[in-house]
Amino acid sequence: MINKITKDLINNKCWRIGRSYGSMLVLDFGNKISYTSPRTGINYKGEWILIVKTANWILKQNNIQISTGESEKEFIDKNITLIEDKSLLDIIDSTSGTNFIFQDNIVLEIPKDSDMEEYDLYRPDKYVLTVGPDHKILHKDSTK
Amino acid sequence: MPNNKSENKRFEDATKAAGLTDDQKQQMYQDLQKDPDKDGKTFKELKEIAEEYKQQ
Repeated sequence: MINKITKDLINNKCWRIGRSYGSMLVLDFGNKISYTSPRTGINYKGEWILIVKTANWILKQNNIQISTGESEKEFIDKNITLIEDKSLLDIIDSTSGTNFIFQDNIVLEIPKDSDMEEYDLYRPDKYVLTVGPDHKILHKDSTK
Repeated sequence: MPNNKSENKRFEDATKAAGLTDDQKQQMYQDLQKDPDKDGKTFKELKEIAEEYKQQ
């Protein structure tokens, strides 16, 4: 099911990645869309947005661990920029989690988490895919 | 040692307590990226921020 929902995201570039609160990550893909925020005014977001909520994530390049969701925040901020401007080549989903594969042998691993939702993927059609806890999948209208 | 896991959970609990929709939560995740004072915010502070998005 995840592959069907995410297939149009493949080959899009991640044009921005940032750390939100704690070690949660926000990755923007696709066309830039303007929005007005109550706190920051006019801003831009991607038409696809991946939000990594679990702290179990692992960022690897060439199969070497670069950072994790339990690293020091300054270290996370410095190293996640590795993904910026890289194309997403594939999404590999299994019962143990989801791996997002980027160009230059970069992999963002999001393992199954029994305590927290693992990630949200906001689609251009106003639907959101929520995965976790325990890798449970929910696909719903994001405006509700 | 950081305790990022408990912070991530605190954020989720605060947005749930404020009753945000998924879209409102998504904007809050986005905006906190740019907040230089985001780290170390308490549950109460996060819930107060979440309530600003609820009223949007």
